[in-house]
Amino acid sequence: MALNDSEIKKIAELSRLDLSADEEHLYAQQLSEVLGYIDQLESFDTADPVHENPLPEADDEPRPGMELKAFLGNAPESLDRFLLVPQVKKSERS
Amino acid sequence: MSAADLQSRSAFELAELVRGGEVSAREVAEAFVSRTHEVEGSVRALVRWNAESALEQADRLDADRARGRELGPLAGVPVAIKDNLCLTGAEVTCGSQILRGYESPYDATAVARLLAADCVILGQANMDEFAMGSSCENSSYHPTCNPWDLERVPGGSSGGSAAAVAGGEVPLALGTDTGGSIRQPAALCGVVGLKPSYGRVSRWGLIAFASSLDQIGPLSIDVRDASLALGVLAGVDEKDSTSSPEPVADYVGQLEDGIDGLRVGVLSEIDEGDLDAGVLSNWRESLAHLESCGATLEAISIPSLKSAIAVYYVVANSEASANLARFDGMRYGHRSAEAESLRQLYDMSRSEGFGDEVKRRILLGTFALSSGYYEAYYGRALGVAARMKLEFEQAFGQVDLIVTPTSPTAAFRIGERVADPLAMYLSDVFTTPASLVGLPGLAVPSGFDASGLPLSLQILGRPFAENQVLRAGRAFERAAAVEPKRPEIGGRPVSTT
Repeated sequence: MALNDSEIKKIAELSRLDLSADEEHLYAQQLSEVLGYIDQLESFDTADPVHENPLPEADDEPRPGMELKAFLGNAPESLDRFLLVPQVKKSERS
Repeated sequence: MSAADLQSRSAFELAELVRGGEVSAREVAEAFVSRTHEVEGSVRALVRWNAESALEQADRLDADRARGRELGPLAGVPVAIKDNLCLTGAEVTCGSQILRGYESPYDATAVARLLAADCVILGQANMDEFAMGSSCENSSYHPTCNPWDLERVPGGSSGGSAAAVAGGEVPLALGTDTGGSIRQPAALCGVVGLKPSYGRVSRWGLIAFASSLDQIGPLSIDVRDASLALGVLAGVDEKDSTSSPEPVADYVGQLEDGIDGLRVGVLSEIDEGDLDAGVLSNWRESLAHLESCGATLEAISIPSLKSAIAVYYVVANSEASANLARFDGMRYGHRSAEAESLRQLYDMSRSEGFGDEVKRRILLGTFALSSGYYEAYYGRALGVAARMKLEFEQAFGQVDLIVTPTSPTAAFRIGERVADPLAMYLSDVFTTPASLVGLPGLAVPSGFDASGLPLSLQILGRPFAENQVLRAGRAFERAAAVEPKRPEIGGRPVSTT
C-alpha cells in the first residue's frame, strides 16, 4: 500500500511528531516502499497466536520505589516535590 | 605479564589470572585502557569511557582480594555495556538526543549481575538510536567503524559493543538483540554474539524497544566467554515478569561435550543466490566442519521464513511506537524550549529529540496499529509469527539445532545503505526468525572473505537449550579453527583523548 502526504500527516499527528513538509514527503515515499514489501504477508499462512505461560502477577502491595530526589533529578523542570509541566487548562478568571 | 599479552587473553583467562593473584585487576585494567587509548580515536566504539573510573574499580577489587574475599567469575574483566542499559550515576541515552543528560538512578539487573561477578566497567558502547538499525550509523553521536576495515560499518544495533571487542578495547561487552542486533554486528566484526532465549536474561533497566522481542546478551572473543557471561546474566528476576524460572545450566562445564550424533537442520528456504559469493563458499565449508564434528545434516523447511522481515518490521515497530510514547518531554529527556502549548510541547520535544530512523519506525508502527489497518498489518503479522513458531516446533522435532549464515553479506561500506531503509532492513533476514520465535541464537566466526572481512555461522536451538547451542558453537569454533587474529587498525590518526 502507498501512503500519500495527507495520510502521513494523519499518522504523524497520531504519533505526536511535528514533521516538516520535506520530511512528510520523504517518509511517505520511504514508508510506501516498506509497506509494499510488508504487503507480501497476505501470501503467508497464519495460525492463532497462543499465550502459553501467563506472566506471574506481583503482590499488590506497596514497596519502596525510587527516591523522589533521584526521580526529579532527571525532570526537565521541577518545583519542590512536583514536576513542572505547561498549563493544561486556562484559568476561568483570565 | 606484558600489556600485549593481557590484551590477547579471553575474559575467562583474565578472570582466572586475577582470581589466582597472578596479575592484579589494575594491571588488566591498565592494559585495556591503554589499548582503548590507542584505537578508540579510529574505531569510535564507545560513547563514554572513563579510564580513571575503570582503574578505581580495579583497585577496589585488588583491595578486596588482599582482604581475603574470593573474587567472582568475571574478576577484573574489563567490560563495555551498550548505551541502552542503565548504569547508576552514568548518563544513559540509548544513542539518542532525546535522552541527552539523563542520569540513571539505578543499575539494570544484567549490569548489576556483571558487577556482582566483579567485572570492571570500562565504558558505554555506541549503538543505533533506540537500537533501530543494522549499521550503527543511526547513532546520534557518531558512526562506529569496523575494526577490520575502518571504511565499513560494524553492523548494528550493538555495533559499538561488537567493535569494542573486535578492536581489543575490551574482551567482553553487553549488547541487546531485538531482531539480530547482537548477532549481526558480531558477524560483521568477527566476534561471538549470543542472543539468549526470550526470558533467559532479565530486561529490567533495559530501555525498551520491542518488549516481546528484546533480549540482552554477551559479545565476546570466543564461545567459552559467551558461556561464562551467560552463566552470570541468566536467571529469574522478580523485577522482570517475563524473565523465566527455567533452571540455569552450567554452560561452561558442559561446553566441551561435543556434538557427535546431533542432528543439525539446514533450511531449504535459504536461497544461495541471495548470498554473497564469499558468504556462500564459507557457508558450505561451515556445513562440512559441522559434519566433521560428528553432526548429521538434515534438510528442513520453515515455509514462513521468507516472511520474517515483514513480520518483524510490523511487530517490532508497533511495539516501539507504544514504548516510545513515554518520551514526551514531561518526566525526563529533552523538552522543547520553543513550544507554546502542551500539545506543541509533546510534538516538538519528540520531533527535536528523535532521529530520522526512529521517526520512520514510530510512524510505521503507529500506522500498523491504527484503526482500519490494525487487522491487516499487526493482526496479520502476529498470525504469521504464530505460524512460524509452529513450523520451528515441528522442525525441532526432527533436528536438535538449525544453522544459517548469520548475515547474507560481509560488512558493507559506511553510507552504502543509509538512503535505502528497506535494503538496510534486509540485512536481518537470517536473524529475525529466532527473535520472533524466542529461540537462542549464537553467531560464531566462520572465517574471512577474499577481502579479509569476517564471516559468521548462526546456530539456533530450542528455547532454553543455550547449553546445546554453545556446545555446538565451541565444537564449530575448534573445527573451523578461525584464528582469533586482531585487525590491524590503521589509516587514520590515532587519538589519545
